[in-house]
This record gives sequence, structure tokens and C-alpha cells, in this order.
Amino acid sequence: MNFRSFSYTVMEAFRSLIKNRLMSAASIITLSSCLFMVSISFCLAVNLDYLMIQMESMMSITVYLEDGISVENINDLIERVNAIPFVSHMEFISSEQALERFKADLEDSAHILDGLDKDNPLPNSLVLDIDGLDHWDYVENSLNGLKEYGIETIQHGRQAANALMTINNLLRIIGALVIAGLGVISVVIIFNTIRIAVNNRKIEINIMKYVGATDAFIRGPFIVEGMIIGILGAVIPLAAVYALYDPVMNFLLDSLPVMDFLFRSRVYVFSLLTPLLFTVGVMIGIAGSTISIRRHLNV
Amino acid sequence: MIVAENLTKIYDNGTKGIDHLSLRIDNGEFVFVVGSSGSGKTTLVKLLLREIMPTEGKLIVNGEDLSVLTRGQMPFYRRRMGVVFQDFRLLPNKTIYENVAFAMQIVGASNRDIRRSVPSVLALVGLQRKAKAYPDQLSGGEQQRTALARAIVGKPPFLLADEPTGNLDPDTAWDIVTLLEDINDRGTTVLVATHAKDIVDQMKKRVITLRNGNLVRDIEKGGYRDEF
Repeated sequence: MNFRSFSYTVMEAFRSLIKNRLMSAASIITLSSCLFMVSISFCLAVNLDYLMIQMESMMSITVYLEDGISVENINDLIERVNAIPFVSHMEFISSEQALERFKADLEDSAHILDGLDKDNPLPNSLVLDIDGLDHWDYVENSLNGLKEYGIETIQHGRQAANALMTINNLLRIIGALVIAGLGVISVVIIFNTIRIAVNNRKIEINIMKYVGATDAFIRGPFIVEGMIIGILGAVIPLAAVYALYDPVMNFLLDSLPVMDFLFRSRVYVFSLLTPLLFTVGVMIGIAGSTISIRRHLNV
Repeated sequence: MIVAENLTKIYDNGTKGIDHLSLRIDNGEFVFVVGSSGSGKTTLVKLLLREIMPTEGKLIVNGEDLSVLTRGQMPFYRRRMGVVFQDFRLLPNKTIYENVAFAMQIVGASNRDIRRSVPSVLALVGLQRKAKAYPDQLSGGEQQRTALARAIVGKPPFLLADEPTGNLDPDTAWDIVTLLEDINDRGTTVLVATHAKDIVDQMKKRVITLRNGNLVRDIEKGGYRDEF
């Protein structure tokens, strides 16, 4: 395509957009609404994912050691536990340290523990951080195999971990379905808009064919028109999400009991959302115009 | 030059549009194609436009064999051919000037060429003063003259006119036919498919008569009624 054809294509696309401005505005707004919903789903998915990562890192397995285990045996056990793959971090908590922590947790009521210093009922323990929920089973099985080396009991957040994984997977599926559904709706909307534009210009397309215009030449302005609708349809939800993201996240932080968790920053979300929305918007625009013009070219 | 050899078109429903038609039209000729409804005129026009493909036989226009012309080659074939329809087919949202310029724009002509060619072709059809008007501000005859200007602005060697006077009053129809003759005098081959008996009779040009898709008469300096 030479410069003349290119400038004709772009000019015609803008002319058509302006001429059918009501319809163009309607389709841009509808596409924006759909992409806004996609953005919300996306923000939710990204933050839930982030929440999972944080929760995973907070979950740990506590291994209580047998009473009266010797220092040598403790060191031996620590060495063996350390050798288990996927144990990202391990901390040894002596029975004395455990009592101190318990007292600290009880704060003002700590005096009820007075007198336990001489006969401390709390065992020595190892607290293990696991590298990913998926490896939970493996680590647990490995620990069961080490019971003879002085392990009394293994306490784990297994059920919580499973529940977390189920919720995470469910949310991913729902998110994917919402995005796919909205994507289909958007394609149908753009398809209809361009089809109206194409129908309005049916005679023109017909004449263009008779005087020797190539299919690419005829299709060009419609595809550019679809792309412009797609780009504008992406800019509006991006602007809305940009303006609303921080206030909404701050509101959630203030009102939900998940104060210890962090949300993804606006910059991070935008670095993913911007290319996603532009790509989806432009693809939908191109798909809509290509499909709607195809049958009119057979003259 | 147009050559048809054993040209046959059978539609999907089994109707024969053209039935083993053979004819030859030399460069620079002016030919009327006449016949009643269903005679095959429209099918011949559609075949010449390469809107439909022949079922059998050959159709060669300007050296191109239309039975083997690909979809991609079609636009380039049509650029060497001017077309005029009964219903003018002008773009209502473009001025007369723009309607004519449009035919040059789509083939990638430069703005300088367009600025040079369009006014001269509008002058040829007598519409230089109406360049800025829109089609709905013109009479039927003026609209058809615009369509003619659009058809010849690319200087095609062959002009195909399908019922060009069908929507016009007799006086205006004569204006158009006179213009077609002028265009022919400048060397363009002109083929007119028509029902206009008076015009065909008085013009004394070559008349090809079709009936049921067959060529039933081909007369130099003929008339419409020669067929009956």
C-alpha cells in the first residue's frame, strides 16, 4: 500500500466514524463497558493471585519434637529436615522461646502462665515454610518418614491450604468465564456496528467493485474504523481503572479484615492491563469489521 | 476486442442465461445488444462485468480470458472497462466532482492527475458548472452524464452501458446516446444493452439480437425491429 492509499484509508475511516457518529459513539461506549468489566475481573484476578502468594508464604508446618530429646538428636533432625526439598525456611523454637512467645501473645493476661517456667509444658518445635502449596503433600510425607528421629506430632494447615487452593482455582475459572463471555459480547456488538456502517455503504462498496477497487482497498477503511473503535473502547476503561484503582483499593484495605495483606500497585496492574485491553480492543475491532464486510465483497 | 466462443451460462437453478453464444466485437465498434426480458442481455452484461463465471465456452475481453480470470485479477480487468447502469449508481454523499474523482482515487491516481482529468471529463459531458452539486440536486439526465464521466475518466478502451436510458425521458435519452457516440468517436468500444427501440432504430449501428440466450440476429446498421 502506497502513501496515497494509506492516507485515503485513514481519512475514509475517520469520515465514516464522524458520519455515523451516533452509532460509533454507541459502539465505543458499549465496548468500553465490556472492557471495563474485563478490567474489573482482571484486577480482581491479579489481586487474588497476589493474595494467594502472600497467604502461601504465611502458611507453615509446625513439627513438635519429643520431650527430652538430646541436643545432638535435635541437630540431626534439623539436618534431615533441611535436606527435604521445597522447605524454603526453617526455624527452631525451643520450649523456652515458645513460652516467651506465648506470654508475649497473651500480653496483659500473661500472669496466668506464672509458675510454668519451672515445669514448661511446651515442646521444642520446628516451623517450616513450604515453597508452594503444591509441594505440601511431598513435605508432609517426607516428615512422616522422619518420625523415628524424634518427631512427636506434625501440625499443619493442610485443610486451610486445600480450601485456599480450591477457592483460587474456582476464582480463576469464574474470572476466565467472565472475560470470555464479555469478549464474545464485545465481538457481537462491534460486528453489528460495523455491519450497519457496511450496510450504509453497500452501494458505495458495489460501485467501488465495478470500477476496479481491490478487496484490500475496500476493506482498509472499515478495518481502520474497527481498530479506532477498539482503541477508543480500550482507552476509556483504562482511564476509569486508573482513576478508580487506588481509591477503591484503599477503601478495601480500610474496610476489610485483611489489613496485613498487600494489593498489587496501580503501576503493576497497568503494565499488564494496558497491552491486554489494547490488544483485545483492536482484535475485536478488526474481527468485527472483517466478518461484516466479507459477504459484500462478492460482487 | 470482445470475443465469445460457445459461451454458455447455466444458473444454479438450471435456467440457461446464455446458450452457446459466439460473437466478435472489434475495437472501436458501437454495438447495441437488444432482446426482450429473459433474452440473455443481463446475463451477457454480468458475464462481461465478470460478476458471474461462464459455465462453458470462452469470453475474451481486451485480451483477458474471463473464464480463467482469478478473483485477484478482477479489479485490474475492471479498471480497463467503463460501466454505466440504468440506475446511475452515484454516491449520494459525494459531489459530482467527487463521484468522478472517486473512480481515479481507488486506482491510486495522484491528486495532480485527478485535478487535471476530472474537470476536462466533466466539460466533455457538459457538467463543468455542476461540479459542486450533489446527485440529488441533478436531473436524471445529468446524473447519467455524471455516471458516464465516471466511466470514461480512466480512459478505458471499452465502455459497457446497461440500459443507460431506461430511467430517462426521450429527449434526455438522446443526449446520453449522443454522448455515447461521441465517446465512441474518440476510439472507445461501446456496447449498449437496451430496450430503447426508437434509439436503436435511428442510430443505425450494429445490432445484436438475443432470444433465449441465443444470438438470433447480428446486423450492421440494423434496427430494433429487425428481430421480429
